Amino acid sequence: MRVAVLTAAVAIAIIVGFLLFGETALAPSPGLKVTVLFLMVISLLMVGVPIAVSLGLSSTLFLLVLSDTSLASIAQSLFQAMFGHPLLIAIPFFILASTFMSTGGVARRIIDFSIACVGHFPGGLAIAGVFACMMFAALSGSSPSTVVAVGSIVIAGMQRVGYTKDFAAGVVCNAGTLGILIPPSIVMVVYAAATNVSIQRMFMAGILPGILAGLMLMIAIYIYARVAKLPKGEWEGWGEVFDTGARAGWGLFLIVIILGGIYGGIFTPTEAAAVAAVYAFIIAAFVYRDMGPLKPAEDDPTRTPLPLFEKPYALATAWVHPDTRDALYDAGKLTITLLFIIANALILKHVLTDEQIPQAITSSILDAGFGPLMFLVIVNIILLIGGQFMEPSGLILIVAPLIFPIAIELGIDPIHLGIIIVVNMEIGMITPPVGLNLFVTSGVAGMPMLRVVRAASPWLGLLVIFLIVVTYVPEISTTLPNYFYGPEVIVQ
Amino acid sequence: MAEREPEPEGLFARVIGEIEKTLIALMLGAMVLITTINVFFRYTFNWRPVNWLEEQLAFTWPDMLGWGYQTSLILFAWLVLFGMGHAVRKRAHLGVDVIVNLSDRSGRKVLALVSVFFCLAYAFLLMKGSWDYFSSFVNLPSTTGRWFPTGLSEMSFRNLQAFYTFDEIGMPSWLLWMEGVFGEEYDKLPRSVGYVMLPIGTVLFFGAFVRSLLRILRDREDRLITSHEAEDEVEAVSRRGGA
Repeated sequence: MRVAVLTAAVAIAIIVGFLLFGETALAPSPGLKVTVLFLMVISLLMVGVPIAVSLGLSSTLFLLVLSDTSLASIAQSLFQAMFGHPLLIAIPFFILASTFMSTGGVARRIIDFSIACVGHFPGGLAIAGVFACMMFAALSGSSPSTVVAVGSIVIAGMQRVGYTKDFAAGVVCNAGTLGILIPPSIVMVVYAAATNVSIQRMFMAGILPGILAGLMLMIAIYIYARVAKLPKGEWEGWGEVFDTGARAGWGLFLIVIILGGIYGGIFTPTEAAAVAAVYAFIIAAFVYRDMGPLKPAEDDPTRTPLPLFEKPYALATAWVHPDTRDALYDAGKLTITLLFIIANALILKHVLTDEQIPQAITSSILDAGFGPLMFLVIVNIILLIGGQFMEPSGLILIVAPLIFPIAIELGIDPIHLGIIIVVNMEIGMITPPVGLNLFVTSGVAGMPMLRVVRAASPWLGLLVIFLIVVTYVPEISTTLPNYFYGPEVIVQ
Repeated sequence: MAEREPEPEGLFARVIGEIEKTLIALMLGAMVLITTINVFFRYTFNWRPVNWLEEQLAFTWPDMLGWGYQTSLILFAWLVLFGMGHAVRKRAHLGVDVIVNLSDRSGRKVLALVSVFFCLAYAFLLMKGSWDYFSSFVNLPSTTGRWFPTGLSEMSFRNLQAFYTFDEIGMPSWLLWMEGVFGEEYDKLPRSVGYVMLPIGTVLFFGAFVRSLLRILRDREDRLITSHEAEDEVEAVSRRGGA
């Protein structure tokens, strides 16, 4: 009770104080203004106000008190957040593709394929879990959905063959973070939209670090498995690899559509996302038949899906089947919450640019004489702290415009900066107290939060080492995009 | 994580909820299909068999490049503006629940009441802003006052902007009645059609918070937020017997 009243009182005091005295007290100092703005946001967040409303209300009050902006133009920017940012429309499409793909069937087939490939190594099932996470990451743009899809199957399977639950949960919790590093990635779309970096380059840049991070995890598991004598599976032969591969192939072909389509110059990234969503629907409804009119009957113990010739009208009805509507609705709901945060973060971004905060921060950082590395360490710390309060895409929209100009001044490659930010977000997802993946894993594995935190922490160390490597060696991020697109031209 | 009570919903609420779900699904589905079909037409309009067919049958292959693109963007904005209230009612908006979880029942009620007050304030400001912005595109007066609507503005050229249109989207015939209403001739879709979702969406948004306020007062709900986006999926997994 006391904490609650105190938090509420602080928030009310800050807002009322700002409304009463903001205009006279804050006008002379831009630094102070922004501090108060962020204090408003954080105090509202602590009370339990939705992130989007915290950002929007703080910015609106700020604009009404300290500038000439009218409410009408705030409403306009709310509309323009979607209408004026054609890149962001890729987000709902990627979410939708991932929703169709997340039906148990696709994850199951990818996991079978992974086990056939790497299951015979010591610690094979864990390595297969990482491999499956990597592949699923290449289908979906978000980390939590990767953890849910892969974790709900793999954690139970690992326990059955004799791994501890903690080990299983720790591995999946970490490997799931690859969802935002391996393209496509919603976080990268937001970074590209916030900084006008090419999204094609960003996706391309994520491939090598994503594979590297996955390999690091796998090698660590392998070493641990040799030491701890973890069980290994049987090598089933190439036949099994091809069999499972063919079954998973329909799902994995989505990677070809997205990446091949974008890099072959066939689609824009937005179009690729839309085509991927339609493809994922067709696969889910007509090939795998985990949803829609052809899915197996509830009372069928063998769970065989119906053949199309028995129900040819399914070709038409699948498009309006309740399952399809529910998938569209689920993806739509997630889109609404994410985009509403993004739209309000854009209003806050306008406030910051109007106040010329990026310039002020740039000059103060440069005057302080920070080198590129010191700067990147500061970025790491800001993102890790910010990640505790904020949804990743909202955080990027606010932080990226602040640090981007400094990075350019310091000669840091924008693509490299983007990858560093994404890897930071990954670490934030498995850092207590508010790591997103920790919550999800705890829910999926049915383990208390504290146990998941402990289970994930050794692997967290690995990811931190990975962050250091990625930070110090820009070539990991920039080689592929520079090879395919030529050196980055920085347009300010 | 927050324990969720089963939703005791009346028939009316259920019907409205279903309609909203369907509308959200339709908007997203239309966005995806329009964008995909757009790609198809972009690749086929210069294709020789198509051109031959065009000559033979004397028709033009639909070119939806421009309007398809803008229409999907309008639907995108509609989806979010329409759905933001629905997301409040489904408690889908993300937030930080650290303090909320640290508090006891009465503390949570205090926090929920304070936060719903701030949300109502924001929704109210957005409602005023939306009307002020939208009204000029339908030749209606906006409201005066910086914070609160203190009255209606004098009509001037600023309020007579119904002639603005989207530059890519043609005027559908079933909307031609708008010409009579506004005394304009439209060959493109008027801007007001796109912007109309602003006042609708913000009113729904405000209404959703009023509902939350009532539910908090009756102890049916103790927060407005969910801590992470995958809560529903995780719940579904644990319902299936967990991992």
